[in-house]
Amino acid sequence: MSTQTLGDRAAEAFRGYLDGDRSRLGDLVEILTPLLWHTARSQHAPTPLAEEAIQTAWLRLVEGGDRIHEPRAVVSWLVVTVKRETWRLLRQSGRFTDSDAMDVRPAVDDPEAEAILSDRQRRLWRHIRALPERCQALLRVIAFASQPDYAAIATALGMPIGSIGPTRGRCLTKLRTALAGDPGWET
Amino acid sequence: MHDDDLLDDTDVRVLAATAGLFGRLDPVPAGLADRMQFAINVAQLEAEVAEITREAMVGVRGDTEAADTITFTSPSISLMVSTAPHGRTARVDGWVTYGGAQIEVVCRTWSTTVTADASGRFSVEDVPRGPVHFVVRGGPGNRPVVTPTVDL
Repeated sequence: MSTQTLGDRAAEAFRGYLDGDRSRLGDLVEILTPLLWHTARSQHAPTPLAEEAIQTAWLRLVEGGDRIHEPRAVVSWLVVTVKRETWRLLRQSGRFTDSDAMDVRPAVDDPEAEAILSDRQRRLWRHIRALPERCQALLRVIAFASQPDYAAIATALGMPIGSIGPTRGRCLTKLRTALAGDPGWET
Repeated sequence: MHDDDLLDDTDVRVLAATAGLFGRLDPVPAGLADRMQFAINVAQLEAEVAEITREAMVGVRGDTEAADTITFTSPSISLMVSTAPHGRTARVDGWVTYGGAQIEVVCRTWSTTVTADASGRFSVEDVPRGPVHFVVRGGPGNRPVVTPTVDL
């Protein structure tokens, strides 16, 4: 397969950066912004807090990125850092107002958010919402990553897939089973 | 690696649909990557930050309008740039409140540095159109000054 995964592209950009081409960090930002956004938001970060957590992770990378010797590790390193930073900010979130707290999307029963979904997406969303919350968070994040990074990301989010068993893990298996039992899916 | 360690087509389809779902329910805010890039630039350069204080016919990146004249102001300098597009490139004429300062024009895959004359004027030809930011060095402060990214 010659198609580059997101992990490949991220590793390549980060290697270029470590080799001294500072502009490659911009490519890394472009490649990983959706993944990091959904990482922070999967932990219920309000928008400003999510942005702050992601920014802190990037600044940590600028300070100490040369300590990451395996370029492939940069993806899970950033996911872990964003998640930890989100939790740290949430713990001291006294400085966030109620209106910030209201901004936690996706609001599960927000009719406006659902109105823009296709029928198929609405069906999928119903099955995802029926999963344990940690599964919802994990699936949301790995959907924006690539396969070689799933195990590291699952561990980072506190849902280790384990050394035994298929890579897809428990959460994806549950979702597949639910979809397989839904006659309206795949039609 | 065993075959059952790999995701199959169904897994890939379900995950792609999941990404589509969350991308729709909770899209990445406009300009988020640019804001992260800006924070990184400032940190890497240990720079002073200039803000956009005046703009005419200007779109900060994400809007569709092209920059025409824009003024950036930091605690130590002001920088005014005017742009005249020619096809895929643009000519940038500028003025900085510090004669002899160096102005680096930074695009995605291209950058160049010019020195302002004694009265602070400078111009750069053939700047690729698209996102651009400026870094000013040699001004009155010790630190470089970095501007937000705008669209040429």
